[in-house]
Amino acid sequence: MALLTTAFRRRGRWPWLVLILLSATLGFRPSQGPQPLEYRVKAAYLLNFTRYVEWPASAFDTPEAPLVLCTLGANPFGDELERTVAGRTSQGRSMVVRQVDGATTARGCHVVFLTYEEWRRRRDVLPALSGRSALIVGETPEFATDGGMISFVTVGQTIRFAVNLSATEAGGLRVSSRMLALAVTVYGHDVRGTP
Amino acid sequence: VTPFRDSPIRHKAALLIGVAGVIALVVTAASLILYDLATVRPRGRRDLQAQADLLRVNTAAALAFNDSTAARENLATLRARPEIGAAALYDRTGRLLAAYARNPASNRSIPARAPTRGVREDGAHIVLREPVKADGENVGDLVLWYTLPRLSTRLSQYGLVVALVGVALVTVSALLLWLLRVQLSRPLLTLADTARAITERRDYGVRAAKHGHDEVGQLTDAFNSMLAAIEARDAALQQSAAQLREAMQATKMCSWHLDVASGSMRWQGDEGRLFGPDSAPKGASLDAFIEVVHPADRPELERAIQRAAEAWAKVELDLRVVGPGERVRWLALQGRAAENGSAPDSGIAHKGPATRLVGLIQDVTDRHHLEEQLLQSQKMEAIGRLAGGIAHDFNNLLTVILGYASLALDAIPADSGAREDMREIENAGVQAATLTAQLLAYARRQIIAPRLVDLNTMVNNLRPMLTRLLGEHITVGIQPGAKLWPVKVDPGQFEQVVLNLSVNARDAMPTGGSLTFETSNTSYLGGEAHLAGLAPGDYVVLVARDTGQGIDQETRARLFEPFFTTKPQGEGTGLGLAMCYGIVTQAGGLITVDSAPGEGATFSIYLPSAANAPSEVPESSPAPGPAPRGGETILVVEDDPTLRALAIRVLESCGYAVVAAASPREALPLAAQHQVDLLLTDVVMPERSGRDLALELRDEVPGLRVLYMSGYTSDEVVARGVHEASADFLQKPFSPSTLARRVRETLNSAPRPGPTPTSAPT
Repeated sequence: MALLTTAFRRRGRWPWLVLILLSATLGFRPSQGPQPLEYRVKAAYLLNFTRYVEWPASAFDTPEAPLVLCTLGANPFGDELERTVAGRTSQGRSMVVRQVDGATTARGCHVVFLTYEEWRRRRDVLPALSGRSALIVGETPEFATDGGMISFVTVGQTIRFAVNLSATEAGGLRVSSRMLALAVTVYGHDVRGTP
Repeated sequence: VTPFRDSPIRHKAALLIGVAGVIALVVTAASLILYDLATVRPRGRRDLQAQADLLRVNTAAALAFNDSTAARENLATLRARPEIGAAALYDRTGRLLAAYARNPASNRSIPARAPTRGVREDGAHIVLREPVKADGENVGDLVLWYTLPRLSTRLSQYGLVVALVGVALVTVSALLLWLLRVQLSRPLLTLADTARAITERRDYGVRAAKHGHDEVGQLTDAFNSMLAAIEARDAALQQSAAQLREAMQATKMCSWHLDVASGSMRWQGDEGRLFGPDSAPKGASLDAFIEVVHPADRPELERAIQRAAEAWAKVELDLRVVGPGERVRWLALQGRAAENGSAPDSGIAHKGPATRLVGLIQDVTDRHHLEEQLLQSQKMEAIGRLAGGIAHDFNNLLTVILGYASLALDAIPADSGAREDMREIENAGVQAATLTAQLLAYARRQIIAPRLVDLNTMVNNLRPMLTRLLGEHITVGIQPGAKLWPVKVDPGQFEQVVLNLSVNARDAMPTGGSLTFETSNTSYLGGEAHLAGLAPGDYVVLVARDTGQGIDQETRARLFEPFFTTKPQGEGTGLGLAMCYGIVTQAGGLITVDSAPGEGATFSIYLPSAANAPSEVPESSPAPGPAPRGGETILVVEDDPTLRALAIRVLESCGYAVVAAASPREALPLAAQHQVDLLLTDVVMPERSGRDLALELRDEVPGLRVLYMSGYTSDEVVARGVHEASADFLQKPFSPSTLARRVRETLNSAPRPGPTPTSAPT
C-alpha cells in the first residue's frame, strides 16, 4: 500500500501540463461555470465510483435490487444526480437516488454523499454509517482521513478524488485498482490522518 | 555433348548440391517474401486489434474519470510497440483527451475530433477506432495508427535469414561432399586402380578391397567374382593350351592358319622340330612354305590350297620336305576353309571364296616307311608265289631231263662223241635245277633242315672259301661278337646266304677293298622304322660291311626282288639276294641294307636267338658212294607219267620190284595185291594227297616205309616239321643216284609211326 501511495505522489509533480490540456479541451473548470457544472461532474464521478467499487452480496436484498445513491442533508446536485443515473445501470443494477436526513434514514443506501457543510455538522453521523457497506463520499481533502472513504479534491482546476482504503475495507467494500490508479491520494491503514 | 560428362563425380555432386542449395535459397526467400506480402496487412490488423483490446481495458477508468494524465500514461506504454505510430483517446463527446505519438514531430497531426469508427487503411497506416467501455457503457473512443513496416526493412530482415540459411547450406554441402568423397569416390577410384593394375600385370589373382555393403560394395563383389571367373577361365585356357602344345609335340603336329588374300601363313606348335632345324619355312607365308616342299609336290599343294579356298574343299595331302643330307620327311597336311569364328557345316552353300584356311600338319615319315615296307613285302610275297609255281613245274621237267640224261650217259659208250653232248645236257639241267632251287628258297618254299648253329663258327669255317672266292685284292675281316647266342637255321642254306653276300660285295669292289663280317647279340624292343616287321625279342645280328661303290636309293628299293640285277646280262641271275631274303625271312629273321652311293654297303641280318632251344646232336651227312641196290617191292605213285616212268626205270635198274600207279585211287588195289615194302609218292596230286594215301596204306600194311617226293613244298608238307622232311622227303629234281640212295636209306631205317592226320587233306 505504501508503494501505491508513492507512485501517485510522484505523479503529482507535473500536474500543470495536464491542467493546461484539460482546461483547453474539457472545460471542467469550477471557476468558470456555476455550481451545477461542478456537481454535474461530481454526479458523473459518483456514478463512476459505483462501477469500480464492489459491495458484498449482503448489501443487496436480491440480485436485481437497485443500487441506491443517497445525499445526506442538503442536496447540492439539485436534480443533476437523477438525470445522470436515469436509465443507466451499474454492475447490472438500476440506480435509485434518495434524499436522506440522518443515519437512520441512510440505512439501505449504497452510496452516501455529504457536502462539506454537512460533514462539519454531522460528524457524529459517520460512525453510525460505518459497518453498513455504504460508500461514504465527501468533499474536503480531510474527509478521507476523518471517517470518510472517498473525498473529492480540487487539484488546480480539476476535480480529483482521494481514497481511504482502511475505511472502505472496514465497510466491507473493495475498490478496483483501476480506480485507485486514478486517485490523487490513497490512504492506507498505516497513514491514518496524514495525507 | 553433355556438360560435365567427363568431370569427376564429386564435381558433378558439388554442382548438383550447389544448384539444389541455390534453388532452396531462392525458394525460401521467395516464400518468405510472398508470405510476408500476403500476410503483412492481416497480421497488422490482428496485432492492432489485440493491442486495442488491451488498451481499451486499461484506459477505460481514465476515460471514465476524464483523467487525461492517466490516459496519456496508459498510451505511453505503446512505446514498447514500435509499429504503433500514434494513438489517441477521445471522451464521450468526441473530444481529444490524450494523445501519443511515437515520433513527437507527428503529434500535431492527430485530429482533435475522433475519426469515424471501425478499421480502415490509409496508405502505410491502418487506423482503428474502437469504443472504450466501462461496465458495458461507452466512456470514449480509442484510436490507433498502425504503421505497416517498410518493405525494404522486411527484405533486409529476410536477407539476413537467407544469408544464414545460405551459410548453413554451404556447410552442409561441404559435409555432404566430404562424405561423398569418402563413401563413393574413394572406393570407386580404388576399384579403378585395381582394374588398371590387373590389366597391366595380367595377374587375375588380385582382388579389390571392399569398403562396405553399399552399391560400390556390390560393384566390388561383382568385379571380384568377374575376376575369379576370368582367373578360372585363364587357368583353363592355359591348361588347355599347354595340353594342346604337349599333344602337338608328342605327335609332331603343328596347326596352321592361312589368310588366303594376303598369303600369310602362321604356324603354332614346334614347327622347327617338324620341318627340321634347317628346313623350316623362312617366314610366315604360303610362299615360304611352298619353298621348303619338294618341288615335285608343289603343284599339287598349290592346287589343293586353291581348291580349298574356292570350293570349300578339304585339304588332304602328303608332302615331302627334303632336309639336310637329302633326307626326305613326309608331312601330312590336312585342313579346310574356315568361316569367321567357326568351321563351316558341310552342306551349306557358301558365297564366294573362303578367306581363311586352317588345319594341321603332321610328320608321317615313319608311317610312310611302314607303308613302303608293307608294299615291298606284299610284292615279294606275290613274286615268291609266282616263282614257286614256276619252279614246281620246272622241277618235274628237270628231274626227267636229268634222269634220262644220266641214264643215257650210262648207256652211251665211253668213246662215243655223243657222250660229251649228253654231259652238256646234264650240266645245263643241273644249272636249271640250281635256279629253281634258288627260286624256291626265295619263295620260302624250300624244305629246310634247321639246326642250332653258332654263326661265329660258321663264318670262320667259310673263311678259306671266301678268301678264294673274293680274290687277293679284297681283305676279309671277321669281328666275332663275344658269347654269341646260337641261332636255328639250315646251315647249308645260310652258307649260301653268306656266299651270296660276299659275291655281291666282290662285284661292288672291282678295284679292291674290304669286306667285314661282324656278329653281335641285340635285344630288339620294337618301334624302329627300318626294322618294321621284326617281332620284339633277342636277335643275333650278322653284319656284312663292304667298302664298295654303294647302292643308290632306287636300287635299294628293289634289291631283294628276284631277277633284279644291275650286272651286265649273263653275269648275274638276279636271284642271289632274293634267295638271301627268302632264307632269312623263312628263318624268322630280317635282312636290311644301309647304303648310299660312294659310301659302301652294309647288310644286316637279324636272326632270332635260339639260346633257349634244346641242343641237338648234329646229323652226320650221308656218305657219297655207288647207288645202293635192293630187292624189295616199291609202290610208285606219281601223276606225271614221264617222272613216273623215270622212277620205275631207275628203281628197276637197282633191282627193286616196282609197281606204279598214276593216282592214289589206282594205288590202293595194287598195294593189296603186292607185298609192298616202300611207298614212293608224290605229295600233291589231283584227287588226294600222297600223305592221305600213306596214312591209309600204313593201316593195311604194317611196317610200310614211305618216301615223299615233291618239287613243290606245299604248306602242308612244310608244316609237318623238320624230322619228316629230312628223313622221308625227296626234293625234286633229284638225280637217279639220289633217288636210289634215299630209297635205300628209307628202307634201312626203322619203321616210324606216321603223323596223326588232323584234317582232311586236299
